[in-house]
Amino acid sequence: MVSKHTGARGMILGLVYVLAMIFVSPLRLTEAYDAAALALPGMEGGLPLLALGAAGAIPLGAFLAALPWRWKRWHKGERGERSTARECLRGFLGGFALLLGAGLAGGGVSFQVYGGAVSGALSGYAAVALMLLAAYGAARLWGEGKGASGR
Amino acid sequence: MTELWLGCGLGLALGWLFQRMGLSCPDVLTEALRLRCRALWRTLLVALGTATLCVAFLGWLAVLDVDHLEILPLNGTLVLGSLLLGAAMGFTGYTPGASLAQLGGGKPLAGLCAVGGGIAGAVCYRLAAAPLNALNGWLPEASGTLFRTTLASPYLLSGGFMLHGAVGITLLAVGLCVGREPPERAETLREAETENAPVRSAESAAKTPPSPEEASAETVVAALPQEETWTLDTVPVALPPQVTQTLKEPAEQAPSLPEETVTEDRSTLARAGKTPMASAAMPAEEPVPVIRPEKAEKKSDRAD
Repeated sequence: MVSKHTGARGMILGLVYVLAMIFVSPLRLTEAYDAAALALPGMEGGLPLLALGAAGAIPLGAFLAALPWRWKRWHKGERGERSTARECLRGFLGGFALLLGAGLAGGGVSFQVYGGAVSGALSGYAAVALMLLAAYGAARLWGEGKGASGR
Repeated sequence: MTELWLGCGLGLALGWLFQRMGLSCPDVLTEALRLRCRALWRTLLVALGTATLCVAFLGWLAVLDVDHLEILPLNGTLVLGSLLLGAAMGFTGYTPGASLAQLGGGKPLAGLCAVGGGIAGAVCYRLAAAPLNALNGWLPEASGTLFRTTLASPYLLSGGFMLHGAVGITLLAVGLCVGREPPERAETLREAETENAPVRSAESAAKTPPSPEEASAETVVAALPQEETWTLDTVPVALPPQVTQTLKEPAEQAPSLPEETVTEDRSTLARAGKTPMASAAMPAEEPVPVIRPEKAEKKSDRAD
């Protein structure tokens, strides 16, 4: 597949994170998950408004971006793909492990990359290197597993 | 309240970008992590380079308040957390932001499960934070930055914002070069996409003949009794331009015979019990077949 506008999209993505850094602080989306956990009894903490606003608007932005494609499919009479139980389980376990890891590391992927490494922090570079190493190994293992099972 | 509205604006942009980059589909990130999707790497590297360059430049101009930068200490929990985060990302193809994007632009139910799992993970971390923080004692804590761009100290390299900016420019240049297809390859890919037909280069076709199991609809597998198996690959092969030019030149130079003459020659040959030449029977536009024995071992056995 020949992708277009990848460079322009990358520049916009970088500028979005820099804007957050200029006006408030590096965007830490994991704080939004923490804030949702605050609704449970026994949990205390302040509301991260920047992260909550971003986390609320990301699904809307993704929906708007997918709207032309969905409209075309709907116009052709095609139905959207439904999530399988396996995908749901994979999502739940993935989300659980991600946020547990992000809590330990002090921030998620975007914070470590676009908040830490961008500002030249040693911890940011180390976190990015370790994440990439682990992710590459896991993706290779998962890919080989899929190939072996014939899926 | 300004923070909330700013967050909403940035979130809209991020959601749109995540969807366009394909991050709302977990398989895209998994494929990228297996180094099979260069477009995503290009986008992320360009984003990293742009952000680094902007931070260095705005810091140099004193537009960016260095107090806004958060420098975390490098300790045991950060190492363990990064490894867990990376492993989860590689196995599932999700990130905290991509889960939210999938909620709106991908498969909503799977996205909802990922967000639910994320909230459960955040609760678990809060409950187990105190014992987990004991891991920090295992490794000596290090803090600071690579360059003198923040008020944090120590920093490893001198050079300050200029070196930081140079790193940004390098990352940006690498990002712009990584995903770029060579012009010839990009053209071939485009042609292949438009024609919707599998085109292989002559070199790859000669090196890796298709096995009978992987044979496509265009491949003929002939197995005669008492004979060794042969695979005839008739998939169109893209010949190098020099070969194509050489094939065309004699056809242009040689005087073309009338149709009747050719037919007469063929019928004369048939009466004489001879077959016409393969080059005459095959038009120039036809793909060049590559004939290969299925297994070399069989051939050697038969010779023995």
